[in-house]
Amino acid sequence: MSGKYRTAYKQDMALVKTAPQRWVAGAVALIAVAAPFIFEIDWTPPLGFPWATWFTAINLSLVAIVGAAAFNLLLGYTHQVSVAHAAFLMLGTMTAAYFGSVMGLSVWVVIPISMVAGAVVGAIVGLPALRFRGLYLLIATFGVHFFAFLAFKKFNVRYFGFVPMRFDPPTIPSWLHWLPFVNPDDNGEFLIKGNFRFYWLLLIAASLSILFMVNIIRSREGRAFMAVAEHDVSAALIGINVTKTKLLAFAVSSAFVSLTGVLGSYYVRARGEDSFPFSVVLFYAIMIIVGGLGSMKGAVLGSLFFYMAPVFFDWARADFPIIKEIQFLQDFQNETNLAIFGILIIVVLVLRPSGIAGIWTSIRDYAAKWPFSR
Amino acid sequence: MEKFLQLMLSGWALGAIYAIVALGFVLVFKATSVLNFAHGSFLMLAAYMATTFLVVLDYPFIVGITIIAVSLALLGVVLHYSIMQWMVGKPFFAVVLVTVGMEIVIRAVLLVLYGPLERGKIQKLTTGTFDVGGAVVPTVNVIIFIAAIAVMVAFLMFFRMSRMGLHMRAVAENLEAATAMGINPNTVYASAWGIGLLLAGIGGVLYAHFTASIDLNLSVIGLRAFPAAILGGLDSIGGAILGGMVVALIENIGSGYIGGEWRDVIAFGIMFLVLLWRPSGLFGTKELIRV
Repeated sequence: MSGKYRTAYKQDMALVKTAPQRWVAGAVALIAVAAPFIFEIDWTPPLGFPWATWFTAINLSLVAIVGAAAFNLLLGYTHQVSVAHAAFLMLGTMTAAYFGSVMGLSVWVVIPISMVAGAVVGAIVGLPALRFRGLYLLIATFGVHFFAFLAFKKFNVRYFGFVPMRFDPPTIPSWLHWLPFVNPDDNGEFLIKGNFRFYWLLLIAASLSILFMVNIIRSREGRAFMAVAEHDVSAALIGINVTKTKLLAFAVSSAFVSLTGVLGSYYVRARGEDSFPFSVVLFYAIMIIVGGLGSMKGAVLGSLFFYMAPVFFDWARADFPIIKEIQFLQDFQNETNLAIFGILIIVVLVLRPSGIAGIWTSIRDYAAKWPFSR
Repeated sequence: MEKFLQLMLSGWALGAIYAIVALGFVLVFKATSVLNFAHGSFLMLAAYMATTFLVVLDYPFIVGITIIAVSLALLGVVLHYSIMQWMVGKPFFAVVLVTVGMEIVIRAVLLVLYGPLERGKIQKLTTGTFDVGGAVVPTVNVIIFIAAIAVMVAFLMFFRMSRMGLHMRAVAENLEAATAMGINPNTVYASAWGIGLLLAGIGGVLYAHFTASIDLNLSVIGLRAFPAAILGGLDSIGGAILGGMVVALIENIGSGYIGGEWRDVIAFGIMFLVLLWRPSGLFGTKELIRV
């Protein structure tokens, strides 16, 4: 709608299509690289803005971006309404705990194993999708969640007893020690530990998986996903193998959700029975829908929103001049965070069901059409 | 055999509660096509209100349950006109997440008003028990069962005989035709929310007399209404009632024998098997596929 039209197929397939997009992509990359160094600076911002907490929140949202993008591929692009999301997070956590903590394998071996396990189990869980659609699929995948939850509890008790699973910090293999900023400790090991070091691992994982998803979407498979989403019978009529497409969507999505489980458990370092209640699925749904369904930008913005908003509330309550005086907010900190968050979700969705990405699009369109915008 | 009898008899009361929960859930879904994830937390709200009205203020049972049911029904109407009205025709999952947002807000409000500590179950009616063939049955379970059945019968009568019930059936069957006949769908949606939450309110008060403790995990019962509703077919009122009974009985007996942690797996397992056999539930209408 911005008056720029594509004239060649190659143009339509390009990742970065216009000059402004190139600027935005460059700016995002610059911010992403500069951010950890800014956080490391010993500087007290005005009004006590909490740098340190923000770093944790950003790392958590980088973990969530992988999972949210994968969920978006399944829900936003293929319209397979699955709530087995947390089940695959648990699967990833279990493979990490078994191969990483119990058998002592390196994280670089654990990641491919967990992704393969996620893909295989995902394809099996996707089988009901061949028979049910929409709401009934949602409810069939409910069962998967509760089954995985039981398995997770039993696994925890069997291998770790009645304490949460523990994860040792991952290390970088010695033949990679020439990389910049990798300064091995005295014992010749480089532990990925702490926000600064983890940021790079998570940033690489998140960017690679977003790139992978974007590439899938603009390839034949991705177009098949969207055709199945619109109508599976008509997709079959134009020669798409619906069975294969649906199972592929489930397998790819589950592999990356399983990866999220691994990354999250290595970052948080402990996972117990109460780490994956059903609300985790809803939280991921909130991320991609508040962010914007069917858009990778939405998954990123939604994850950032989900983890940054509470930090922002905390800061506003503790240090913002007028709000700081309200006794009620001080008495009920977590409760008001929860309530504001819930109200914010309702407000965003009632005003703009296309989410934060939709708000961005309408601002852009308004600016592009000015002075003739409505 | 005694254990089986025991589990079955306590299953009946639970089944009646499930049925009433599933009924409210299905009613809202059938009338407005909103999958109400907050249904369980409305029930939780009612259970907490029951601790205020029946225990702290010590009102008689009938007065307390009326106050709670009426205020929840009003809440439903208000929610429709303030929020859900604007979500009609919006993408399905966006609407679902609005109900998730409501659930979060209700949870926060309950935390502020009642705090995180759990409360014991309400023992307002009677604490007596009686003996059936060696199984001990609390008398209150019988009262719960009868009350739930009475409410459901009253609801079905309303749905069959009143003018509003007729309007609801008309809107659910064919929205355009009903609107052309002069039925205002907005009023019908509002009353579906009102009645759905009224049923949640009654279910919550009854469940407060049944459950072991009243805490913030109570809303899980809203998720348990899913297998019940699916078993009967999502758009079938009678199916929801039957589904609630069947799921509660099998789940109660099954978890009594293999262990409480299998409860959810059993409930959703049954539902999964039924779905494999009949994808639209026992009494649900078959979905038409149009290309």
